Amino acid sequence: MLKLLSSCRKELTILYRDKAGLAILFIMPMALVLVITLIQNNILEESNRSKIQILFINEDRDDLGYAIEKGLNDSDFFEIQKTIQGTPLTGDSLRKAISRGDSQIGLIIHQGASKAFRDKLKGLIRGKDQLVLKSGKITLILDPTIQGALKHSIESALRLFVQGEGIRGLLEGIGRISESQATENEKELSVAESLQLGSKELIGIQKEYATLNESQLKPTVVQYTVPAWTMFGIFFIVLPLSGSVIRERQGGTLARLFTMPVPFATILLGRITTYGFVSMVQLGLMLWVGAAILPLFGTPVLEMGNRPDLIVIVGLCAALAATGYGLMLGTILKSYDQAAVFGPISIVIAAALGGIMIPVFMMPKFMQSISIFSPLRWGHEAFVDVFVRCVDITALLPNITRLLVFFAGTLLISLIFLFRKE
Amino acid sequence: MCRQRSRSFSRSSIANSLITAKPVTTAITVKGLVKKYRNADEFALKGINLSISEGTIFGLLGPNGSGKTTTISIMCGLLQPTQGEAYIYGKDVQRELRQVKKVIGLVPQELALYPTLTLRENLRYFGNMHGLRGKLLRERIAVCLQITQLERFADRKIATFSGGMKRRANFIAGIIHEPPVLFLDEPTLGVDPQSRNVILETLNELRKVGVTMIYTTHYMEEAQQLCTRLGIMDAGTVVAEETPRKLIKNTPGCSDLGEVFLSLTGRELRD
Repeated sequence: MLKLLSSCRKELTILYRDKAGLAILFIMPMALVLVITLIQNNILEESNRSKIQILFINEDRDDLGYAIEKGLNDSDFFEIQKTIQGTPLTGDSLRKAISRGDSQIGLIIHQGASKAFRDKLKGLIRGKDQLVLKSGKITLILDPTIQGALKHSIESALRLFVQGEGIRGLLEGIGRISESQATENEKELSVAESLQLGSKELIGIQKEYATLNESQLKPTVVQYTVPAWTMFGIFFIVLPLSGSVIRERQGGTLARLFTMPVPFATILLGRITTYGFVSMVQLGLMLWVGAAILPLFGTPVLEMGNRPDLIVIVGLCAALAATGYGLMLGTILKSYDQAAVFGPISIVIAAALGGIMIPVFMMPKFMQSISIFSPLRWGHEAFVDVFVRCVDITALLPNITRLLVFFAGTLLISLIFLFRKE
Repeated sequence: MCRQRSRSFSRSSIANSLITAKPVTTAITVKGLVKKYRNADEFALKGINLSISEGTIFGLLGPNGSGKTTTISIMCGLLQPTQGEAYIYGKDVQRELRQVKKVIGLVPQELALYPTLTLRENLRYFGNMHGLRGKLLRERIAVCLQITQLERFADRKIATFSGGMKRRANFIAGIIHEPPVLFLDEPTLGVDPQSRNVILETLNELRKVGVTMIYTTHYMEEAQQLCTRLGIMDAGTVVAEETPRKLIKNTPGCSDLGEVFLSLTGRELRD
């Protein structure tokens, strides 16, 4: 018993003495729980839900359009935006905003939608027509990068919402014309609803994906998921890299190298090149899994598009950012144990914030504002731009610039810490 | 055996060029070296002055915390002094570090090797860092392995080495480029007598070809046997500097270096 207690006391003392390690050990999982729960809370929890933004154009300016607009405004799920930087939305600007990834969902109630529906309704009441407003009067425009299940959920919710609000609005409009007739209509509609609503839309909605060019790839789940987790994988280079730097610092080999006639930049470049190369191998393997292995299990094939050069550019920038982060941890952290805890958890947090697990637009507003600082978000967005939107280099510039600035910043911090310590 | 080995060493071309270009006989000069570490209450060095001639094995002795490693680190350019200057063959260590690095070698106290690389891979890497390559590097590696009797283990990972083998490997990694000035920070710490003997014999051979060495150790008999000149440090100052024989002779009541050391630095523990 004495030996057991003594062993426990020794272990506790060792843990207690490594205060930084202990702080990391406790703080990082807490941060992980906090971030993941806050992000997921938005999706799983009814209360405190942040609203999904919808770019909205009401060309109809009649009962149907106003009803949907009012309904969206009053809803707990959606909020509408009718301008971009103070300029009223047009069909073109709405599509461009979504194709750029600035927004994810757009809804256009086209001119004459109410009239067309009323005509159909009258036809139905007379028993001469089916109560389905054909597509072409309402258009739902989606960001192709929204993941499958989520896309269907949003789309279904919006479709149901439009049905309900639209019918209610139209009935109110008809009701204003004739109260007694409206009552009849409602009766008819309730019959129609009970017969058809479960399986068929009463108001047809045309769906389209916003694209920047014609060569856009099909937005399959593979097209979205593989690049997202590839980014995650690239950043896991941080663990061996930071460990290597810490071992070199602590073992004295770095001091020995400092006495040799070799510029420190050469040593640093050697490390960046090597780990950058390893990251690129990682990228290649992940893409190979998407293109060759996953289809064996029945998934769609990962299509690379016709710009492999852009994949390499984004991969390189992501690899540099990951390498810079690894070097920074290697110089700031004091032991391999600290790096082993801090490194992976910080990456998981950055991945969660970066929209790899849950899309950024689904997060609470304040989490969205924090996610702007996640390098995994920049890399993830750039990869999605290449793999789904098939953009050109100019569209990638903001995110790859952020990655390169992050690399430069972390490298600078590493150098400052290294020379202060050594 | 020793003669055979001595033929393996030669003064490096860099050293030759430095020495022939300037007829300097003083290899190392240290003037008024002061060092205070950040957040430290006391000065680690309080004005060190040294002048070490070429071909000298200068033993730097002192209790723990006396400033030996700090002095060596400043001379190697690893640390910036708070005040004072250090020169290697007339080159200012702070201002002309690039040239200084070409003529120095360091055998640090730590086993500064990559444990997952083999000894040969370690030597090749450090040799490359000194600009060695091809046949010359292979020859240097062969010589170093031979003198430390590590040929059989050249292709084994350092992590699998015994303590003595690691020390010998650490030692040759510092001399692979045949530096004219060599800093050795307790190179025989914790090794068996056989390994220590190999290291000390090699140092004597290096001295014969003109290599200047600064050598720190806690083994007094080793210092007395090996060093041509000694500096005894205490609390950041050099309290005595002489040949081992003169130090013993000039310190009343002392018959060996150990007694001289205790007489000059005191018997109280240094922690």
